[in-house]
Amino acid sequence: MKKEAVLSAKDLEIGYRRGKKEIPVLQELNFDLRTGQLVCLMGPNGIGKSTLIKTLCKAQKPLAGSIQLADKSLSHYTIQEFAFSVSVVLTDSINIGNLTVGEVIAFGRYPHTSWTINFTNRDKEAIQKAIKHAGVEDITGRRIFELSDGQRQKVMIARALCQETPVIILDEPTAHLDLNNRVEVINLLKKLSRESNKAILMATHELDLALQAADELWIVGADQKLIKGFPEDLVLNGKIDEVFNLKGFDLKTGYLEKTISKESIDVIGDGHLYLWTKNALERNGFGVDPGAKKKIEIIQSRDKTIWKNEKGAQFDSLKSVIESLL
Amino acid sequence: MKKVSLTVFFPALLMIASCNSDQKEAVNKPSEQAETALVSLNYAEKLKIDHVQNISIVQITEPFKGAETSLTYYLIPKDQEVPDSLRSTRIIRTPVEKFACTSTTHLPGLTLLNTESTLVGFPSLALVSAPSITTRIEAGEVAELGKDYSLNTEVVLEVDPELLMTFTMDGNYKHLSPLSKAGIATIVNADYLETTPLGRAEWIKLFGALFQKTEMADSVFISIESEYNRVKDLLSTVEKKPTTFNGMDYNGVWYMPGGNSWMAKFLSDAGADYLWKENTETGSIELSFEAVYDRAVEADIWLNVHGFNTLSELEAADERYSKFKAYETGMVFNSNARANENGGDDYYEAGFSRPDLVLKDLAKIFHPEIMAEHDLYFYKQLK
Amino acid sequence: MTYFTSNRSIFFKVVIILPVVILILFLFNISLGSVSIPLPEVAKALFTGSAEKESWLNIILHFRLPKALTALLAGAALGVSGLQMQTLFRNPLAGPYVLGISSGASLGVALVVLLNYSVIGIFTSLQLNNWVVIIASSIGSFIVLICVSIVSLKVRDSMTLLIVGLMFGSIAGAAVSVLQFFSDAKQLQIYMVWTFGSLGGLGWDELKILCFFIVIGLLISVISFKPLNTLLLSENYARTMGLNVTKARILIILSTSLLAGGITAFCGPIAFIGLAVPHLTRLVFNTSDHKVLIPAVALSGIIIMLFCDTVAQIPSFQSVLPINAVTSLIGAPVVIWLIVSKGGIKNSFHR
Repeated sequence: MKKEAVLSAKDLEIGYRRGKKEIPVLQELNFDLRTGQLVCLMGPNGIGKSTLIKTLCKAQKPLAGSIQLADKSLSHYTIQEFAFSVSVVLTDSINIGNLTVGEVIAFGRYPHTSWTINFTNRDKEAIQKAIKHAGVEDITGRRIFELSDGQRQKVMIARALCQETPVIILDEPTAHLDLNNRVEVINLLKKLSRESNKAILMATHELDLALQAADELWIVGADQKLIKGFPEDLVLNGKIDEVFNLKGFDLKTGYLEKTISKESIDVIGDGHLYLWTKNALERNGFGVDPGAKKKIEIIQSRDKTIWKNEKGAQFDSLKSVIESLL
Repeated sequence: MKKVSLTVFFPALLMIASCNSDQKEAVNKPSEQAETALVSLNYAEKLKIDHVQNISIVQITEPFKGAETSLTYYLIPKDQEVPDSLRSTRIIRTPVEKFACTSTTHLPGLTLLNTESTLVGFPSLALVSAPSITTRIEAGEVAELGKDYSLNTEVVLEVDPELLMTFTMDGNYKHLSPLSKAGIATIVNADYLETTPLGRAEWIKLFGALFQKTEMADSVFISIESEYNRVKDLLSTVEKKPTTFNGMDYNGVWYMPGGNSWMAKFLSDAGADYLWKENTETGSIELSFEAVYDRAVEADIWLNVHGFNTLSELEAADERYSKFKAYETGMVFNSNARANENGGDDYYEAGFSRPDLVLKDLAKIFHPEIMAEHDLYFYKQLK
Repeated sequence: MTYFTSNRSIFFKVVIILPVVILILFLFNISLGSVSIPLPEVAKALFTGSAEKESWLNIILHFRLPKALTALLAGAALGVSGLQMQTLFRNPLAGPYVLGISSGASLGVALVVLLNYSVIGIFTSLQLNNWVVIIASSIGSFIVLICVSIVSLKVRDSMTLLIVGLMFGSIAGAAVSVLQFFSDAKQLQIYMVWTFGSLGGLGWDELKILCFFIVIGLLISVISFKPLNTLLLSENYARTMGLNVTKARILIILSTSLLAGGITAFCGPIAFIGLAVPHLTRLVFNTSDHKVLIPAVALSGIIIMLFCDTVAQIPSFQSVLPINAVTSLIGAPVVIWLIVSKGGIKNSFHR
């Protein structure tokens, strides 16, 4: 089933104008953002991701080509109409600490209210729904300055949600977040795209997260072109390597490249214990080879794990195993 | 005060004497000599003039408000050698033939003594009222020295007067030091600190000493003094004294002359009942509009509404002015009858040295029946 | 849950407590002054239009009432214009005068006062007519306003606008200095007196015109509370929420110019109120919602202005203190105390 395209670009050229001079940043962009799809826009820092986001948010005019939003050209949208179609999460920090979480989320309803900002029941429902979707029920009464970065980001996503737009665009929503919060935010976005059938475009430079969550990757590289595709395909055909020019990271296995400088060891065992034992050895420069003379056997009993070497010595932690080898 | 000033004089007198053997008598009884040679200054409190032989010793006892040290000048005739002992003091050679001054109030010192021809420089020439001086200005004989406090030192140096008369509000003489280095003598005039009209007028005697016209200055002052006292005596017996108040509101503050001020003295001499006469200030007091209104609403006569010519202008400036009885009866007077179109006003020029004329004006305003023969000179009634 | 819906306690404060405090202060203000008038007489004069002494009636009707009403207008106008500037520029140090309005007004007044004799020569009177000062000041502010508005159409970023405003202020300030250099002492004194600011100089006619400007300015600020709230997030966010930032900016500048420009023209530059009242109000009400803040700031501004003016009169003394000295002397320590006791303005106005 081919989903409906809500935001598409044709032969788009973006960049800056300095007086009469045009400085293109990205050219020949062709893409479709479809409903129910989470797309990650990736690329090295400074390549033009922000320029593309700004252009899609009507904050900047394209140099050439066209952008289609739903049934008409983006340039024909008034700023109010745009606010009904696209909601945005920016990297701008929110400085007014006095605001409560509820108040910030309610900002999302502003396009729908008159100058008196009186919320109708419909508005209140939308706010409640967004709060629930984003999982910020527990903190709605808190002040923004009391929140952690991760909570703040979820609040901003809730704000975008209650704007009730078919498209959500996010600029680096996981920057400055720790691993847990990153995973949480990305899972939230993934869930939203599935459950609310929204088209979500998110700029990020975090490859690992993008690979795990995105339905499609758009990659911009140094040649000013945009490469798009199914994430795993892009990994396997080496396009990502090409753009990111990864050093010391084996994308296909998902591991850092290891340099083997010491002898090889035969590890006997299975499951995650095998994997982590192998990891510890390789990290310390040992090879893992079933035919090797030295052996490490993993013995798992009900309540503990021990490692035994070929001479029969026993160790109760991987640290002591490695120490014995060094 | 007098003792202090005499002790200051001692060394100087001794020095003069020691270098001039002909003046032994003066050496023997210096204090006596100083006493007897004191020019009689009966009203001025900030000025002292002694004559020792041909040398006049001028002392400005309070050169600016609150000054603690006096300034002494030695006026030595040009045909006499400057005694070595006086070399490092402030010396002015007389008669001064090239004179410059910095306030319009200094100018009557020239016009009353017929020494206008000595004036070579003055700041803000446009403000001058005296015809005998404006003709000199028109003839290009008086140089423009700058504006107010900001004397243009280069122009002063170029004009090169023998003496520059100046005044200071805050005791800052810094701007004068390049002049004295260039050999231009300076003198500080503090006549504005006098508390009585005649005291201020008496400073004419300083000009007399500077231009070697001592006798003329004395006689000018005596005639002013006698005229003043004649009018004052005439009014001292009046029974009905009209109530009066002064000035106007400047953005919420009404500057009213203090009860011991120069203006209050004028008013009491002119047979008026000044509503703030019980006050003890010598300068002006700052009042709120409503405080003035409360006390002066029924006052008979309102004086010195600065700059205004008509009652309607006054009302336009602040409609509350029209609530005073003096406004309703039209008894509002201003001292700007002799103002010129450049912002100069003869009242601020000649007025201070002719207190007799000012008193006659005020007498005419308060008691027209007594002063029938006098026509208003500085003052006029608002139309 | 709260989302910009005025809760009952805030409503109670704004609609009941503040107006009651204002009423009490207003009556207090009117009953105090250099001239002591018994309280029953004050009430009689206010409500029946008669008093034991006619001068008392006049003092109340023509001195104290216009002054108290001017304080009312000035407090509301300066507070609200300061609030709008702080929100627009997202800068806690912004106040009504950041756009150079008072500098423009000063330049206008300085031009008239200081060039009075030498160039223009139309105003022969030493005491300047109130209207001349008002018109000169308004023209000065208006020219600065036009310049700032033109710039605000060209720039996307309000920070640039703030700096341009400061620069206009510097230019006007420098021009005033040059003028001062070439003026004489009397002219300087008139100019300096104007810069002290005063609430007491207005008659009923002037008050009516000032009231007109202030009411329009306040109405504009009331219809701008959605844009002002939207600007709390950031200008970029405001754009994505359907706000025409340029239009909003013009509206806010217009309102501020009417409010701050009007007060400056009629009363001279009055310090401190515009900067401090918004902070105080935010701390007391613990909100950033302009729907609450605009009325609350207006009312708090009135309270502080009335209070300062009452103190300036130093009851039973014959003279009055300059209002600017009082606003700063009394207001600044109050603000410092409030800010320190509440643990800094960071929480209510985070940089």
